[in-house]
Amino acid sequence: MHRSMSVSILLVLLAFSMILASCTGGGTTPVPTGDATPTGSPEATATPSPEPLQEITMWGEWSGDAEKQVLSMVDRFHAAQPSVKVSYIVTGDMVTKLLTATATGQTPDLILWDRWQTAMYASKNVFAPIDDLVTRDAVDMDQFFPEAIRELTADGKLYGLPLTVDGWNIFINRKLFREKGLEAPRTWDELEQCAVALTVWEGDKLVCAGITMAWFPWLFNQWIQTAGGSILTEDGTKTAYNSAAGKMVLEYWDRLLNVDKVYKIGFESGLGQGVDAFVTGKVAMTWGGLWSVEGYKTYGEDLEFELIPMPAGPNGDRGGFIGGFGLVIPAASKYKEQAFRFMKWWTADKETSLEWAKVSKSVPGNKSVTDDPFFTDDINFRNLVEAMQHAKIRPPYPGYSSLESQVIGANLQAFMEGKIGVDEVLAKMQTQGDKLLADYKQD
Amino acid sequence: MRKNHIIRPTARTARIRRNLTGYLFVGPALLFFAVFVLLPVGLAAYLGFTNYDILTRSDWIGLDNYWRLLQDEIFHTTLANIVSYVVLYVPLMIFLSFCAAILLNTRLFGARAFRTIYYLPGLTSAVAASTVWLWLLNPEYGLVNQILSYFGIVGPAWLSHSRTAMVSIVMVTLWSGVGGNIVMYLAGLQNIPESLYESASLDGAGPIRSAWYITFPMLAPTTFFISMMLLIGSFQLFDQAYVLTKGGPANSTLTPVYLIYNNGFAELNMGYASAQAVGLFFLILLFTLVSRRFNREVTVV
Repeated sequence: MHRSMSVSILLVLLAFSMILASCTGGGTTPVPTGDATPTGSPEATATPSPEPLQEITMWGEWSGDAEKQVLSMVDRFHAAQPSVKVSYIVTGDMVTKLLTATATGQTPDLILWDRWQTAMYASKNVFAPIDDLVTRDAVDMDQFFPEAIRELTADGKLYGLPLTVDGWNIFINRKLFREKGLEAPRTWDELEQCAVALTVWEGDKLVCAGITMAWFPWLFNQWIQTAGGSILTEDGTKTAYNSAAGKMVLEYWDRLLNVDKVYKIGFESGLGQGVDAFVTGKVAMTWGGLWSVEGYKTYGEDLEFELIPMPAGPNGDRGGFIGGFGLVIPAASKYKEQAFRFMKWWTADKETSLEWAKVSKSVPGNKSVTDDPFFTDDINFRNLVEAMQHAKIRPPYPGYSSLESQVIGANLQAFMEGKIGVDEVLAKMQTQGDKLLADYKQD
Repeated sequence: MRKNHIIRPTARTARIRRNLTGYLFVGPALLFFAVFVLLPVGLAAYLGFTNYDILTRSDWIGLDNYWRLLQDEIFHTTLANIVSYVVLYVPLMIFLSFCAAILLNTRLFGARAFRTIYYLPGLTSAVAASTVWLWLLNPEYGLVNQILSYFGIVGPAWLSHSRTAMVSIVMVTLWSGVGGNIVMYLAGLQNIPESLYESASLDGAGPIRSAWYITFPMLAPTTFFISMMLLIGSFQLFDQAYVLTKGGPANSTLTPVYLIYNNGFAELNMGYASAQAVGLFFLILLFTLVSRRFNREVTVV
């Protein structure tokens, strides 16, 4: 009995260790200094000639074609100046590696960073503020998309410069629109009319959905903006979606799904790439960003698509989501000055920004170049730039990503399944959301 | 007397030498176990009482994380999800692999080929196989619902409805795991003496009675081992659930390990994540003890 109990406990212990092994950092944790003092003096940068060649390392998760685009910019930088050599290292699962590197002080000098997590990591002293460097070099901050700068700012300090901007907007199938004599929708009402006109049912089988609604629960933030509301209170301490605006959004979704029947839950699950529902004409309108374009071009030879901004709400309110990548310097970097030089060249120089946009086929964080014909002559770029004028970053508060996935997304999925009504779901989301934010605030 | 005086130290020396040899053999494994198993377990148990965030702090906060755990609705949801998964998955897996092993143990034509076929899904990467299942389970164009439609059945949106999502994950994980358990049952079956079946046959027992009174009890140690492994493994469900449903819809397939990972590495709440892991540990312990008791009763019967 005793022995068998020991065996059981040993087995469970083994299981427990497997769960926890990856969750323990182990050892003591050195606290990074967060010292942002530039290592080079202003005089040194003013007289570049005798400076020895310094190699810096940049981490990023971009690989494949995106890696080639990065490397082509690195080559241009090397050709433009002789004193800094950049080595780009593709780093999968970068956040986990960055945590380990920060704990041991072995960080790279520059990071190609998905901006939305800046505030959390900046508060842990992972990144170095660059305000002094920006002021010293008189970098014109008005040339960037202000929301992208806000996303790189925490506690009043700036931690990086934006490289790209993108967001979730709507792709329409122009061929299907043309066949029905429809124009791209600009308002909620027009969106509903188009979705109804484009939906095709054959008995119980949905042949063509007017608009994909699979992503709706995770796009609640931008929907509520267009209804004139917001997802959180201004100080980020409480949820604000249990409101007239929140109710307006959910009633509209309910109408699309259950009255207009423009979509069926689960319609697209498992369909991707070559059999993607939008590419194969099974969905007339879908959600995505510039990251979707190459896939549509590769797999949809006959697909005519157009990217349109998030439609305005019933009261004319606009909204949307802006995200993207930036460049940040880890606090433990030994060559902050050199890293900043490369960062500034890549993002703040108008000519380089335009070159980068052409190489990467993206909208750069530098908005001053978006009046170039490269953007204005292309309807997708033009519409995206317009969308970016109204878009907001995801709230930069602790716990927001958990709130979005585990509270908002999950409850709204239940709502879309018809398991819970409008008022109940908003009240439940408020209770759960406020508690979650309070828990994270305590942390 | 003198003889004893000489022999005693020699015997003791031999015993010490024998023991030392034994310790030397198990030493590396014990060291590995201590460093990579016991130490992380101990550290995680300690971190559960701190506000450890990996980077800046590791202060003792007493039972705060555990009070939070008791009120954490989402964590409770994940525990309920995983218990429903275990309750469905473990008995079904034991039943299926036991039946399949008995069939494959016969000298039927093609049995060897079927052994290989059943084992093949286990060789496939869980993520790759789950991606294929995503397509198979599509409500409109997936193979599963297409086949059901030939019988006049309108198949559900398997992975997109909270009432069928967990069942779908059970189906996929059964498919991918059954081969390995069949192999273990086959090994157990080959250890049962043929003479037992011959005696039973002489006493007039048919194949079902033989299976119930001979095969099933004789395989009790194998069943115990498989059920323990399944229990421990299934409580750690992560990859299939993540690829197939990402925890949705409506958190219906969100698992504790996913939540622990998310809290620890995405939100940097490693202290709270450790407390959650300790909570999961006690749940696994409880289930293991219950299962142990159940298995012993079955064996005694």
